[in-house]
Amino acid sequence: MHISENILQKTLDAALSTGADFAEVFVEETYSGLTSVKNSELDQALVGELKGAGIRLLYGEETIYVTTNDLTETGLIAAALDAAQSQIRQGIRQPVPLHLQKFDRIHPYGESPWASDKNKKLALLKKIDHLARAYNTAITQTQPTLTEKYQRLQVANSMGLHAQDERAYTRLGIDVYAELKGQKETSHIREGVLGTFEMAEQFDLKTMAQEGARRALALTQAPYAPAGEMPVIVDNGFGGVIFHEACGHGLETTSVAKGTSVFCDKLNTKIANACVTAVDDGTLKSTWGSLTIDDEGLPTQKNILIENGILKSYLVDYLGSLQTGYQRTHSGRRESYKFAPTSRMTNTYIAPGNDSLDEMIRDIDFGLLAKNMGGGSVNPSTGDFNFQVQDAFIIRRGRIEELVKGACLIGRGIDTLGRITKVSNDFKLSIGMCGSVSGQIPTTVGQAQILVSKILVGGRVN
Amino acid sequence: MKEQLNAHVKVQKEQNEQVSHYSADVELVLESGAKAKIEYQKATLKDFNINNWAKAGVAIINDGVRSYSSTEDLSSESILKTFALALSNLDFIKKNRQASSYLQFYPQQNGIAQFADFYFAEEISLQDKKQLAFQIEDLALKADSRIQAVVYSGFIDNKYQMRILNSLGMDQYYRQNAYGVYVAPLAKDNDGHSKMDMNMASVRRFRDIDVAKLTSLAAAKAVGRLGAQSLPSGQYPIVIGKDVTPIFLQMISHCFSAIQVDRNTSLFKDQLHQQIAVSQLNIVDDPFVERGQNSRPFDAEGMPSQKHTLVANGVLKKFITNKEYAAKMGIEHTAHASCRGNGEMDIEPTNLFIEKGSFALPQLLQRHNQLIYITKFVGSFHGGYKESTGDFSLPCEGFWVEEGEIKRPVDQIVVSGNILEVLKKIEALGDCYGELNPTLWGPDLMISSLSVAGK
Repeated sequence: MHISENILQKTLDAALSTGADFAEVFVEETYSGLTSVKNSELDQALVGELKGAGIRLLYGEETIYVTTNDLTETGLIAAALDAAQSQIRQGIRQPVPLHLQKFDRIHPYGESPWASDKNKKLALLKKIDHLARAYNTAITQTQPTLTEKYQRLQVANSMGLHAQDERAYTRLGIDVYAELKGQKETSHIREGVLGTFEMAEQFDLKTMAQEGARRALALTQAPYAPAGEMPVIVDNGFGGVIFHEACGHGLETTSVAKGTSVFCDKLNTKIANACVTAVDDGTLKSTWGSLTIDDEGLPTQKNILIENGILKSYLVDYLGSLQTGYQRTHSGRRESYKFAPTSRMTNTYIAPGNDSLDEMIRDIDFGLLAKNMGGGSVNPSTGDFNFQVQDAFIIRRGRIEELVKGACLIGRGIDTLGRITKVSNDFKLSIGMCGSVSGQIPTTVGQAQILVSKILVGGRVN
Repeated sequence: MKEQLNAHVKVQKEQNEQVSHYSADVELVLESGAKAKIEYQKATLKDFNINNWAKAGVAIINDGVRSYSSTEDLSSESILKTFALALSNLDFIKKNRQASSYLQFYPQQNGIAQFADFYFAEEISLQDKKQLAFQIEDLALKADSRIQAVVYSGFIDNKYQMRILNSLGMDQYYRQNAYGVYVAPLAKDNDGHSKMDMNMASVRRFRDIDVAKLTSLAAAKAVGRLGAQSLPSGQYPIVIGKDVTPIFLQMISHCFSAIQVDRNTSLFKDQLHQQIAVSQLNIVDDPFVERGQNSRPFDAEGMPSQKHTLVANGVLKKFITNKEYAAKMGIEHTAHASCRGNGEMDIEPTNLFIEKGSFALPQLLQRHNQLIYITKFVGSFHGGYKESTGDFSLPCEGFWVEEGEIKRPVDQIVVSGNILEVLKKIEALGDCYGELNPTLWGPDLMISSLSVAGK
């Protein structure tokens, strides 16, 4: 799929024909594939294609967005006129002639997913299945799944920008089911890469399988987490979801521009302790949340959001820059052409610090080491956030003790940020999917272990 | 769309011709929709979004295995290319997957309740739609002086249609529409603390949209939460408000699926004809109700829809099935075939509800000297619930009640438990249904006790 500059230009002409200030065309063709195994044999082998265009118009800060699956010249122009006819203003602008931008390829890709060997993919899934089952006879079921996505896109706008990109995503997951002494449990392990299948072949299957099995088994015998406020050490890697939810969404101009984010009007003020430096970096090589260009056609960059506790930047897309006056941070993202872009995260993490994990543990009389997190969510307008702890360890009188399961941690973002008192140097990133107004997108969260001096643990009261 | 698809009938014929060489069968499922969304913010048009979409899914069944491919390009050329892709995948699947003797397509069906498409779309002018969307934010802001902002609000006009064609002669079609309105006002008190709540409504007819009711209720809910505080951790009697009862249905909806039972991932496995809930509880799946957004005249296999009581007097009466799993497991076929976005065949409920009881809310609130009346669950459901065990840990908000009187709002609490235990702890059911959720609903529920974590 490739739409000529001539057609893109004509589409932008049509889009601006009723007085819009800005027009943009986003064209996409995406291949997706899913291969899964159940009962140690092939379960699903599905393929699909997503193909269409989204045409965005801005009249000041008002957004018109129309999608179409008809990528012919006639179809694109018709969609552009549909969008244009929803608003009529004085003063018709002319689009600037398009100029194709060139970008360095940061993220290497191999064979495209529709061409790569299906048998190899199945063999990989069967291998991880076998490794998990072999761990213990109490492993009753596994569901390994390989998902692949190959997106080809073009962005063109009335300011003359024309950019193209190709993005390959490969994600390997395994759900492990265990049953021991009448108790059933599951665990979920995921790895992903901005890359094609041969990069997935480099995943450590043995560690993934055995960790999944170990975790599911251990949880069958674990009691529930306690309930109440207490100090919590949040582990590295996916523990970064605490920042993602408590703070990250509140820094997107999607919320800031409305005036309803709790972080509004707090630039260059202290919002956290000095040990906290938080970054959003879309340039990390082959990392799940990275992009060469954002979905508005601009090269991604590393954005320092919080530096030594001081709020330095929001995440700003084009509309956000118009609404707030802040400089763009090249953070416009969308799930697909079906969504208008908004400011979103990429790879977001709390930078490693200098504190010792052992000291953090020793200083706690009664608390929790939150090891494996589930997902979370936030209301940026109130700052109320939550995320799930799949399993954790009780810390008692400075020592790690029994495994516990199943608790939700809740708080208010701005309060919780102020209670991060220590950050270790053992840093790790983990993959995830983030949902918001512009759809589901791949993101990475990360951190070293952090100590939150007080947070509400929603475990069980006996 | 039905008329537009005559070209696809020809495509289907060509596909039929090709698979006849393999003694295979092929099915083409065509879907399309048009969704318009209008949002205002600070009296300015913030977002006007028209999403016109279409999708063609091609499935081939041969020697007991199924191959599937899909495209969003509905040109004949693209569909035939998609068909070729599905055909090329078939050999790989046959070599690596066990065949199922129960897998097949079906011919044209009789007895389809075509009224269940509930299509009442009207030609509404763009101006009228914009006016309605504007009004929602405007009325919400004026509903109470403590409403400082409307975080989001809008109007949606949604249409959908679907046609199934296959090589056994099936050609079935239906269409649907819905209008949706939603609003989320933000209330602030004098101390600068803010609380947000939301309201939404989904109707089939434009004239049934009641903006005044939508906005006044949303504002009252947001304002009512101001001053909320946490509670000490403990075990408490709980009334689950009818607008949030759906969360418990969401926890168990997949458990009725025959696929989940067969894979040993359903909490209801081995529970057929057993007492799984209190005797007052009845759960019904009904694909024929106008308010239900999952209503449809036939399922994803083209089988005529059926209404079923899944739980009667607390006893699990049946699982929901498609043709394959009904035959495989030797149980009743209930016409609940569904197809996920990626083409995977599944089994899902349509509109699932807990039948209402006989207690008015004030009566429920008086059943214990002290209790918590939960009216909002906060955050991600899937994060707080574990399907494999039924354990949940969910942040929520509501009210502290003493002697039947609401004393103050509460927040920053987490309620935890296990859904299988909750089903047996329901003491009483309310006498009217919640209106917030268009596919899952139920009355207020009095639960004898649940663990609550607080400050």
